[in-house]
Amino acid sequence: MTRARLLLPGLGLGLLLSGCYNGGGEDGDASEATGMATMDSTMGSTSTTGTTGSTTASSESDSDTGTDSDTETTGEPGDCYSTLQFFADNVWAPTMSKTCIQCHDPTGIAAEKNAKFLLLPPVYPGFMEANLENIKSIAGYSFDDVPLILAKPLFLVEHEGGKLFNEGDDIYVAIEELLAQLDSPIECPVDTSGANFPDVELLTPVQTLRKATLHLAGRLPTADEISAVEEGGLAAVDDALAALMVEDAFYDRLTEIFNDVFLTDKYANGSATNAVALLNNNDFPERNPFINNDNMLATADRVRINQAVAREPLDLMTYIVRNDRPFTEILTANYTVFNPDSAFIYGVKNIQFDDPNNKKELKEGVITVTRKGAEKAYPHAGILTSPMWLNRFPTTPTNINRHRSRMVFLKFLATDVLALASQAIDPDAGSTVFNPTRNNPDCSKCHKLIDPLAGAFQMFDKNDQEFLLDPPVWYPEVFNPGYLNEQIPPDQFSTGVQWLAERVASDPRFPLATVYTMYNALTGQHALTYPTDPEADFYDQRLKAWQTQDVILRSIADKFVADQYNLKTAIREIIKSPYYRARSMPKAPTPERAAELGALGTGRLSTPELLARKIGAVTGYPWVRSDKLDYLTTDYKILYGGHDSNEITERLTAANAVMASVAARMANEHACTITAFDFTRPAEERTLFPLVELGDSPDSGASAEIKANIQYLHRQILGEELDIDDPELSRTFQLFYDTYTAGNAALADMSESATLISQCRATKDLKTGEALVAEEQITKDEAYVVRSWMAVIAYLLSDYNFIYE
Amino acid sequence: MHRRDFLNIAAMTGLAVAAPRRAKAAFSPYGGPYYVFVSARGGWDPNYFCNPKVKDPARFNRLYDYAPDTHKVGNLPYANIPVSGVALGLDAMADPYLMTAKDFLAAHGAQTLVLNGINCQTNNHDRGFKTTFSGRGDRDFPALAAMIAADRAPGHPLAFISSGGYANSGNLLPVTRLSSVGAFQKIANPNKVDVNNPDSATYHSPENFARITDAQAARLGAIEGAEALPRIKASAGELYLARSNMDALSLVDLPTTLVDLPNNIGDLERMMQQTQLALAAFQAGLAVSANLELGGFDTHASHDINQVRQLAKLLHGIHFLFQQAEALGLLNELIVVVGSDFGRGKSYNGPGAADGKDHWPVTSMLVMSGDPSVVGGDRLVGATTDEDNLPMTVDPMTLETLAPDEGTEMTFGTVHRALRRFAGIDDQHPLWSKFPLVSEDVGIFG
Repeated sequence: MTRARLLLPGLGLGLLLSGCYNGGGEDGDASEATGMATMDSTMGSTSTTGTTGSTTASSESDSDTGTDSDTETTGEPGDCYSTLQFFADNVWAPTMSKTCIQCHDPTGIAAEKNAKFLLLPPVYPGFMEANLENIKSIAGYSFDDVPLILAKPLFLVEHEGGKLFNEGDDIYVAIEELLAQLDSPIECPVDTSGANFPDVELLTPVQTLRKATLHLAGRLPTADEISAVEEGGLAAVDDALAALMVEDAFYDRLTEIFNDVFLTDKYANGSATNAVALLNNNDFPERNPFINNDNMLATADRVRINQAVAREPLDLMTYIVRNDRPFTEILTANYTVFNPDSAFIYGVKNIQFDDPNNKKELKEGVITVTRKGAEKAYPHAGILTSPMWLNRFPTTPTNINRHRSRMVFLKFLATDVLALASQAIDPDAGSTVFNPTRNNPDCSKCHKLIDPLAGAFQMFDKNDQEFLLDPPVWYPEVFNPGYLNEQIPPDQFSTGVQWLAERVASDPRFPLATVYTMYNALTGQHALTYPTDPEADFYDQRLKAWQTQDVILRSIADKFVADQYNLKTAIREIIKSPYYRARSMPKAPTPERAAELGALGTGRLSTPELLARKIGAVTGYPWVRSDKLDYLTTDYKILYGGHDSNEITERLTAANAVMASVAARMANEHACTITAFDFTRPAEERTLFPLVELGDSPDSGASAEIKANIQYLHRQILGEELDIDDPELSRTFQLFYDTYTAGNAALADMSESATLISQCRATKDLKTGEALVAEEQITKDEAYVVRSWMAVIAYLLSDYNFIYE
Repeated sequence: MHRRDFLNIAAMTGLAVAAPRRAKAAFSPYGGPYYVFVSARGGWDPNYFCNPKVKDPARFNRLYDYAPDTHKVGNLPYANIPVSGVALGLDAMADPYLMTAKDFLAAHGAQTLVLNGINCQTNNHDRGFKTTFSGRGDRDFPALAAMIAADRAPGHPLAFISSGGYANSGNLLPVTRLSSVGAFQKIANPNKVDVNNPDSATYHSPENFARITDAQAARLGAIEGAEALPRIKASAGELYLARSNMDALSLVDLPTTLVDLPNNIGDLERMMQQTQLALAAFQAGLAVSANLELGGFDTHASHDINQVRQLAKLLHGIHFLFQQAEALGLLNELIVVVGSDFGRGKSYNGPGAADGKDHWPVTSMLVMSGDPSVVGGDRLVGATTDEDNLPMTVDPMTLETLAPDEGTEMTFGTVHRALRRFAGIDDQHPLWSKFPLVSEDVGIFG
């Protein structure tokens, strides 16, 4: 056997695979211990040509994509068919994903025997690139001039999986072609603007601006911003986004997004003590006096202080973004941030606040505790060492940080390690094995990945979650602390979490995980997962959808990294992508094409928080209780599909009858509250009715003005630019007209009163709460115009285009 | 709306039919049976209630004495563990809300089928949770609760209620959550200013409100008809379905107040409140199935206190469910399935009182019915070995317990095949083939 050539050393995710999962074997002889399961006789039937691909370089198996051009409803293939795509379509999908991986996955038989040919399953983000990189790294190995990757399954050399195919089979030809391409891999430019979806119309730049501004800043774009985008197109959206991503409202939205992931608001949620109570009084002597309220603080002050402590990890994250720091600092920061309240509870010294009364002011600092008579600093590693994060993802003396390990994989590396345990556990198999997590292969498959990372948290107590141990404690029967196959030097055990953080932050999966998180936040959908069931309906189309999205999200991750891990770059690029901007299709897609486009576009149900802000932004007044708190973030939060960070931790993303009823209640109540009041303002100050007066009615010859105001309302509330003769404006006008006509009849026959019900009268300023002077007040509706406009406002506030983004 | 129409719409997640002028469909109250799935989240220990073992600190029980001939109610054995709030880290105020296994079986043994020795095939919380309540851990299958609701009354506005528990709906129908009484009453009457006043004013006159609703439906139909982008079409259809029969929410007669327990058993209070809300939805004919959940069972530490306390709360919570169902006249239509992520053990993870039990893939399930004849109560199927707490097998026909290699091992695939048939989703049903369970059949329900 010769080692004839070694092409293209593994880079990027290839390092993850070849460097971290091959057991560290340095022996150049790759002949030992590669095994394959029996070849599936149906291999080669799947074609997964991507939207950027043509058929020029593929085998004959790439014909059935379900994109029948006769329908004129599908995207046109591009000119470039990358080596990666070729691999995915012709090598991975038909064969390696089904047969080879059964032994060659990181926990498989081949891996245990240090085989160099290793395949990551789809549970790992970036698995396709990593697998191609691995093949590159072993492509130089050959036997009698036959590449080893062919010689093994041909059984020209020993192969525990036996003979899997013959020379000339489709898969043989495909691998040969792949190896040839690896000499000079074809790479295709990535277009994230929507060119991959020629049959789909995107939001215009101005519409994109409106959607993004409402989402990120909870307001409508200004006239200047709109003008700039009208002039500068999509490029100008970049500038507008950059400007709004410094506003406080943007950081409020980021706090929500981060809490959706880490759920540490469990300890806030209006509580006066929940966060502070988690702390150890010996370490933080302000804890007990606060819990006991020795200082007789008002409840509102206690809630505020408790929230400051609860929000510390989220504040750290927003602080990093606000200061344009690399987002990797959420893991690697050797500090955290405090406001005056949290600094007080933690007893942090050496922080000077510019204004101690400004509870929004954040300063960097370090938590210190006393050990062995000396002051000892926390080994700060971003949010990983936040007392709140440690409590939210707690451990026990037998769990020994495995839960935290899983969370690190899941939240920062987009890897669900539990999904690696794809096979059923036999309860009997481990019963006779000593130390099964290490010695029983059924258990060690996952534990050898999970336990080392868990060991990085060994400096924290296993009962008192944030209590710093000195010295740290780990267990000889458990895998050594480390990350993947690198071990933490014992002299760094006390700061091992910092050691870990550096490695996680530099793992190629971290930027992808970040992009996935922001993608979910902005679109309301999880990134697509690789379809693993070839028998499922529309498998080929779902695979194509995944491939297309994977390429786009990875390109966004690349831009995020290239811009020094600036989170705003990832947000901006997702917003500009078709997944955020797709608006319509002129022609109905075939069922196959529809399956490819399922993740695309608008039509996301607003969360309670997003909808609450949108109501305030477009109507000028929030929908609030008497205590000025938004209904949608209090009384109706759970009913409207929100979560409480505690018992309910997932958002509902599909409307149900209860949610539709909440929207109906909102529309009715809010229309009642704001309609008459808006008319009390001078026309130029009105949010809703700048083009009409209360005296304008169909009977007064003001139909044109009414229609113009309806046109304005469709733009203001729904973001629709409609011509004055658009049927939708006619429908809305008809509602006004019918209500007006019937209402006047009801007034005439006295079945309705001219006096508005008290809730709908304008008697006080909605912003200041002060009573309006008598001549400004509107308490009667003698022409039934107020109620006609109320009907219109309720109709628009409960419209699909209002409650969906 | 006809069930199959609904399924077609849901399956395509878009409107497959022309939207009527008003988004309304014929509504007929659902009359049962009502299914409640109770999740003991974290991994319970059947050895501490329905699968007792002889005391042996080196094995599975260091807490209680067990005599098989003595410690059983009817055919059902129990772990004879006394409970008191003070001993379990609570206080005497909690005592009325804690229940022993003995008392539970005395009250409900005749209504209870105990399945012991189920091989959950995982030690993984998420996978176990999914396996227990869907029958399969290697697929994202919908909860059985969702499948039943989709089969029986998918268009009913509260068909599947889940404010905790395994809530995967499989896109068969929407998941609904219920919370406070006051907020629900307001949305059930969205045009009424004061929902507590029968003569309350309305925001819009009834005629105007109907006019608005008509216009909304027409507009939504126009959007759905004009849009071809799958996501928009799907979400427009979703809203259409959500608005169907929305008016029926006013039929739900919620209790004037929800239960209020001492602060240190707030988790049980929440479970009991969810019980009240779900039963009200059943009574109104709007719901088919509901999830309830009680957490705190992941007792790696202080098992003898924490596990016992949570079990005592759980059993009281189920008892409360039966009491309330009886009070509302729903008892005979009530079916309850109780499960957890997996079991615990197989032995303790340390000798100290502060030690606990770790995850163990062998577990149990309770299937209960208000009418004892429905599930065939006072029955015990399956067992675990006394030596290793491993699953025994059963004869698939007679259900006789057999040695581990002699009969059929019960997995949740086995159990769910039986549960599906029991719920009317047999192997000819489209949902059966859409979500296949690869497992052997055991005639648990005959």
